[in-house]
Amino acid sequence: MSTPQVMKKEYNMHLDFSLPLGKAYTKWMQALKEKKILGNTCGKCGRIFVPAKPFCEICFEEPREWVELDGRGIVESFTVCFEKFRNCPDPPYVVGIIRIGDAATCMTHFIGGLAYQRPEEIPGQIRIGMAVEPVWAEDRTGDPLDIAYFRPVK
Amino acid sequence: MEKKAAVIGIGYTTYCSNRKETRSKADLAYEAVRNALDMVGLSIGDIDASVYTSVDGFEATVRPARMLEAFGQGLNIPLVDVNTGGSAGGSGFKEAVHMIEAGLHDIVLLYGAPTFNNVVDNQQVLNTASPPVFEKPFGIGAVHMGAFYAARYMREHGIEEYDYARVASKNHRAAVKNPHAHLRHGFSPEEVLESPMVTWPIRLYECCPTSSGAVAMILASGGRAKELCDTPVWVRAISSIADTFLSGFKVYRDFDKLKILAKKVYEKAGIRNPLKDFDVAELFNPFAPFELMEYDALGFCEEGKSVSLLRDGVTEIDGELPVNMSGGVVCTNSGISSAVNRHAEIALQLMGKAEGRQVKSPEVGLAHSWGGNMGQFHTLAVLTL
Repeated sequence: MSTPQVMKKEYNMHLDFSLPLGKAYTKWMQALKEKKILGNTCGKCGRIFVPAKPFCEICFEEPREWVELDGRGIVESFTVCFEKFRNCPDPPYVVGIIRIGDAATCMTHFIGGLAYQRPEEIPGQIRIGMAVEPVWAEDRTGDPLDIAYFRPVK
Repeated sequence: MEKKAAVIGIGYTTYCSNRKETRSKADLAYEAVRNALDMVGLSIGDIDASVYTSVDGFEATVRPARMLEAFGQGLNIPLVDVNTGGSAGGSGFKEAVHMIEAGLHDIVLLYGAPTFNNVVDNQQVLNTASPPVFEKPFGIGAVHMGAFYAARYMREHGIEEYDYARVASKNHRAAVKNPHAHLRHGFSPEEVLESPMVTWPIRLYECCPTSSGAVAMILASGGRAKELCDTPVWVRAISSIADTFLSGFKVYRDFDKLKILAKKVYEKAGIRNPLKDFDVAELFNPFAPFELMEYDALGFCEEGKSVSLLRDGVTEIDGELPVNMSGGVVCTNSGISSAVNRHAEIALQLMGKAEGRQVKSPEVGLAHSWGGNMGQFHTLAVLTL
């Protein structure tokens, strides 16, 4: 019987977690169920956070005032993924860094609703600074994925 | 005990593709530490403390504390684990320096582990570094994060795909001369541009490979450093900076945090004109475009003019400030090891032991590392003869 020079052993880690979201994130997620994008505002510096934050990291204060935004945003940056990675969506897919309204923060989300024949055409369909709006998922559970994706505003 | 800290020893393993790796984590640690000790003529019993670096959750195998005995655990010495994502190597170096400067230890071993050398799909693992719920579901790994920066930087400064290919090629050409580099193909800009698009605007040959290999460094206090080494490399200034975990605070325009860190470190080190004052630099560039953003943030050029440094050959081996003559992270990325490598490379350059990649008589060098979700952390170290 021949012995391999070195052996390799395969293993994996299927681990489950349950993440408490706290009050601010919970309120923000619950609003998504109702197709609303909320932000909360720091009483000291006035910055609006979308997604909402439990505290302003600069002033170290709890943002107490909540505002509802119309959901429109602009693309601050983006990428188009052409490769298949495990546990990640099938390519091509577009992920954008999206600033909702006048928020001081951005959301990471999918960009969709693009017209293209070949995947190589996708980067040309998106522009940094482009206006986008949310397309809501049918089934909403209080999760960022209640927004199916953002699409260019026509 | 003199409070100044110096690098006196460097030990590398060879680097290869993680798929081709046959050595265990313990083999790699032993080889790197053995080589570092041999360079200085020390034995493991001479080490006063060890620093190792890890990233939580990455395959559980980067917890050397659990499984490796190459750091002198059997010798009743302190062991410190430093974790700041990919920059943990820079933070670990900083920890080792502080241990010595505080007068706690005379001889400290720093180990740069191969973080993800046993993965099946690296982006799958890197995706676990993203904030769960808010960002992880969007299928982003490090290569996507890199692309957010590369896309925005292009747009801000009118940079073209060819410029990114050119900076990648500079690294690939340099790696040919580095026996410790993983990819040594010497790709031309044209070959880079022909490689497949991974995450627009980043192409395959502008991305680091998943490498396997490790590095160890030995640092010593002033008196011992002079005794043990003819060319100790002194740490003149070192610091780090942190940003928030959620990436939403960033617009990816540039490396703004690195700019702030550079100002602080330069002040401590007495650096007034970085382009003139540094003789060699190793900058963390897992994606080739990062190198250009780093020229900007580190004040090597006027803001947005990084491409002109490249065009004028300023950062080539015979230029005013050679950058990444090792081939950089873009040619060799063994996880945390690659952050330690930046420091190891600068130390070797200043010692005059960088072999085929040696820059002519450098006296002051800069080592940088980057890591964490979307680049939360940067570290900078100014090393001198």
